[in-house]
Amino acid sequence: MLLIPCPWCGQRDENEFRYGGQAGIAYPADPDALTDEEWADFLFMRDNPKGWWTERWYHVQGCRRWFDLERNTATNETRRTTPEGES
Amino acid sequence: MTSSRLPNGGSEIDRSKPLSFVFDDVEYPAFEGDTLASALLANAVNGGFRSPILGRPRGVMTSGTSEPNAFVEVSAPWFDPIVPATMAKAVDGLRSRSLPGVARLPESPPPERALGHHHAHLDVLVVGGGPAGIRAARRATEEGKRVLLVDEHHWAIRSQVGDVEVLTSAAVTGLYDDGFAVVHVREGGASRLCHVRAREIVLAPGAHERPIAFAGNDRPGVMLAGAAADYLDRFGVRPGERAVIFTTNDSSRAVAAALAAAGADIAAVLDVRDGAAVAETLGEDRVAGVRAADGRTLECDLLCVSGGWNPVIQLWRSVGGTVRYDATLACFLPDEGPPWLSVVGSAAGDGIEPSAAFWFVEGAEYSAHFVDLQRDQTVADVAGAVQRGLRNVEHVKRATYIGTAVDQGRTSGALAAGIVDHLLGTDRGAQGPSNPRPPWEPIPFRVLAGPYGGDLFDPVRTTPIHGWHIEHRAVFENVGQWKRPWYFPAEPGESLEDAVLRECAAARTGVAMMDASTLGKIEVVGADAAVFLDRMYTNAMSTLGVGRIRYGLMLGQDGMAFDDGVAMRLAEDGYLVTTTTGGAARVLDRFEEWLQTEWPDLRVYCTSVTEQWATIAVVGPLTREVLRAAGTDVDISNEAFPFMTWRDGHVAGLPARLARVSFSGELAVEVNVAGTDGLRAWKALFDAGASFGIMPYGTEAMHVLRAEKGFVIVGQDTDGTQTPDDLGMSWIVNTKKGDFIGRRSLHRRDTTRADRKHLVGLLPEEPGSLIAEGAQLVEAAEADAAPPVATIGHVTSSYRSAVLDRTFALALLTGGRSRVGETVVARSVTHDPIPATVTEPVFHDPEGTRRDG
Amino acid sequence: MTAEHGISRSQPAYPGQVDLRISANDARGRLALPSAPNTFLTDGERESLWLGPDEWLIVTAADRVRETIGHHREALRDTHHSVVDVSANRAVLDLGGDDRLAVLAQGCSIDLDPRVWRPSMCVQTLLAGIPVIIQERDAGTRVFVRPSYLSHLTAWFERVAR
Repeated sequence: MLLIPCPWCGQRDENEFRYGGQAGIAYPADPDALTDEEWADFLFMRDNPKGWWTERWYHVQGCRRWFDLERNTATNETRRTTPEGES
Repeated sequence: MTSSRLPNGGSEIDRSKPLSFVFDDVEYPAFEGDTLASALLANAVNGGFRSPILGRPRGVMTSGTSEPNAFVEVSAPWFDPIVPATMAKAVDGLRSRSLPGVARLPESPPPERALGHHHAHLDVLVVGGGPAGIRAARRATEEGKRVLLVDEHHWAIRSQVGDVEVLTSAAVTGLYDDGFAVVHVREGGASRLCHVRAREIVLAPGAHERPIAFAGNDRPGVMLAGAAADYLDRFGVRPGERAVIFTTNDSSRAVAAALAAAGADIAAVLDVRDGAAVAETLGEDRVAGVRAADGRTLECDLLCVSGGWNPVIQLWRSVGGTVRYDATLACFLPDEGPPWLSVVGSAAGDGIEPSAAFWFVEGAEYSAHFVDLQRDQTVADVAGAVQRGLRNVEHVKRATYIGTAVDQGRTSGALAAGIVDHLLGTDRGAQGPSNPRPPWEPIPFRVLAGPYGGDLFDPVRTTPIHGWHIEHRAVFENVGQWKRPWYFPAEPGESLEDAVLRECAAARTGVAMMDASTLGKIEVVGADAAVFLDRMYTNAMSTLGVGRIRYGLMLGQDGMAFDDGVAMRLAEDGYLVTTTTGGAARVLDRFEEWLQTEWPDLRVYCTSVTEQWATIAVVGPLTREVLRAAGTDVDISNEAFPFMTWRDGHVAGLPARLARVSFSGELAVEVNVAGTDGLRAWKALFDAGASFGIMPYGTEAMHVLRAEKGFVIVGQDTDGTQTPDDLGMSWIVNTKKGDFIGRRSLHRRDTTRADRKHLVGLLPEEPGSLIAEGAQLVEAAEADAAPPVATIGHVTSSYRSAVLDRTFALALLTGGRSRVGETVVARSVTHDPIPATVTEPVFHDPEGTRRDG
Repeated sequence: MTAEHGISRSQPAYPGQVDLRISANDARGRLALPSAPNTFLTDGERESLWLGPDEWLIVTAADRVRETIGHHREALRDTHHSVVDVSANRAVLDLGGDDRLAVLAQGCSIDLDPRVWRPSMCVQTLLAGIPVIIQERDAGTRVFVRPSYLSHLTAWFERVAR
């Protein structure tokens, strides 16, 4: 049970959150400009690094805010980034 | 019966408090503070146990959690399916019997014990009540921190710890990320589970003594040297009259001295560092002597063994802590770990005597050199695994099950790793013991379940009308966590089939009502609400007039059907949208996700109102009569209140929002009232409908009614791989309004293939044949072909229809729309093949003439 | 009130409840709302519970909902906001007795130790596996729960408070 630092509510148990996968995957400005392959890349392909990366979490049982979090995938250490929309 | 209890001594026992207990039908005396093992040894009982596979005689080998032999079932005054005798506290009247390392299910369920769960938040959790743990706990307590010390033994350490809060008989069964520990606390007959979250965890679990593998090292009377000292010091019990000490290190010197001081003879000290060793034990059901490696025979009734000490590193390793091999101590020590975790005391190597790295005594053969006693696995078994090509301790563990028994490799893990390294000729310590996994201590499932057994296992959700449904014999089905009426038997015993035919007939020819309160409801408010919903649904919601309602379909970004419902336009800047019962949370979450992460510029707020509203669907040609009889101030004529509009007003005197929506194709009005008025509104409508023969109906009839109309249920007729076109719903995709979620995916090569599976109808050739839902569709020529048979689709919904007077089904069929009129065959393991004609998926009133009544 | 060991529990009640969405910036100067996460303010007539950086739950008497909605809409005129009646969306249970927090700690991972958990605090979290709001009032502890979960939560209280 990870302890997830919600930027608003502080440290809460992982089961109050929903996982949102890799952060920073922006919705394409013009999806029609993308080839099928590029669109499939956007939809389905994500990084899978060992070590630090940035991922999204949603405090579904708390303040219902989405936020980004840095997590080390090898050790599960976490550290805060800025709240969504304030970066 | 002789007594091995010394006249004095024993730090844990209170000689003023005698008690008696039963072991294998014999009553024995003991003192308060004894374990079953110490009490048995005090009564000169060392044996009486059997190994699980080979049935070899076994006795008490340890004094704690590493015990691999002496297991008991406790049947009174409480029930414990399996516990080491070394950990079971002796209490007056306790009844126990020996177990061969494997528990048995009780013939009748044991009496319920208090099985609480509890959450605790700490600054510091200290695991282990030895000197190092007590020091750490006292220091943290003096600093004003919230501290808890837990120790797995029942030993009385409270007197030594000052103000520190202590739990004894409290075992950490698992350690997890970010200072989370699960602690199993036994209090007499009761157990509870403590979920601890600590800023800092200090591990002070000590070290476990390591046995040595030699022929007959499992014979009763063979005991770890430190355990012999424990029985002397803690319980005033002398576990033997004449002892041989077999050791690799100096820690056994004190044991020999203590035994001698207690009046035991020391026959010999065989130290491998002097080239001495025990080749084998002698005797029948217990040790009568040993044969030394030099050929000498030494008489003894106790063989104390020490192969060195293993710091207890399993909890440390279970959260990613690394270890390093220390050649001087011949053991693994904690190395790097998470920042919130530290190790002190002998678990960190403090005070551990240097030891020879010595795992087993050479012999002619190794079939009685036991490595894991509870799994009856020997050096010969390890060698066999290595010979078969397994070169990693993890693989050897899986081949032999070494380390998987109740003691979780406490005595066998490091030994097995050492033997594997030896057999492979690799460096000592090249491979650590196999990875530990929770539970580190056995824990009954019912303790894990705690209060969440039975009805509380998964939270149940009920509507405000639930009590009425129960009173009217509803049979319920689970829809997510909701209990929804499945059908309402008219009299006890009416079958599902009969009830559903009756309920459907009422909806088609008279009037019926359903509790639809479980539908998800979200208020979407703000100047950009229309823009936002246009992006979420495949069709346009911005063009919807105030007072009107539109059905909407949502897709995943992959273009596949995600959820559906209706949107009511409440105002220029406000909508109320409904979702499927199971989709309420995920739709609201998706709304918030897009608003917060992609379009923070949109001025839209979403609020869940699922339970604010109770929703009652009144369905059938007589719907208006029932509403008028119940009393309403809304003009419900078709002209004033047409299909797909809503009106606010009252029903039966209660504020209500009426909606002309229909999931059955019949005239229908959804009556929405405050959840707190739900039951009153339902009763009023039911009473008003009595003279019209109104019938309550459940989800099964609802499913049949909608399937007759070819309306899909997302999640029943879809499985996350259907585009709108696959479902024959291209009409709901508005490609002119701009982008919406999933739009781009609808013109990927894969989503535009002609041979995708399409939703079609099926009419079995025999009108009474009911196809099983989930049945696979095959070509007619392969109706009876032996598998493997190519499947061309599957059946998603299948029912008997009252209005059609026959069976019918919905199915997903490859290229289905071009096969209308052809025959396919439904095959399933439970039914004979059923030939059926492919049809359009609308069976009843395709022109939609019935919805206005 | 049903009384168990050291804890009393009211029958479920439905006070007036209004869900307010507004950015904290837009609300400033118009409404007195708690800005600190997981706290609430009370002005005698209404309690305002922080639910999120742009969401508050306004709790008032059951017969003052309409007035409260009007008051907030009027105060927030010309701003982007949402005011929704949610009076039936959650029931409240009022807990009293010295053991009430210890009982809640049996099913809730929030730190409810009195050294940390004090009056004026409120949290949205899980209790007995279901979503709740827990509010520490001067008069005791209030639990907001979806009515659909009432029977589950009541059964849980009866089981753990034995």
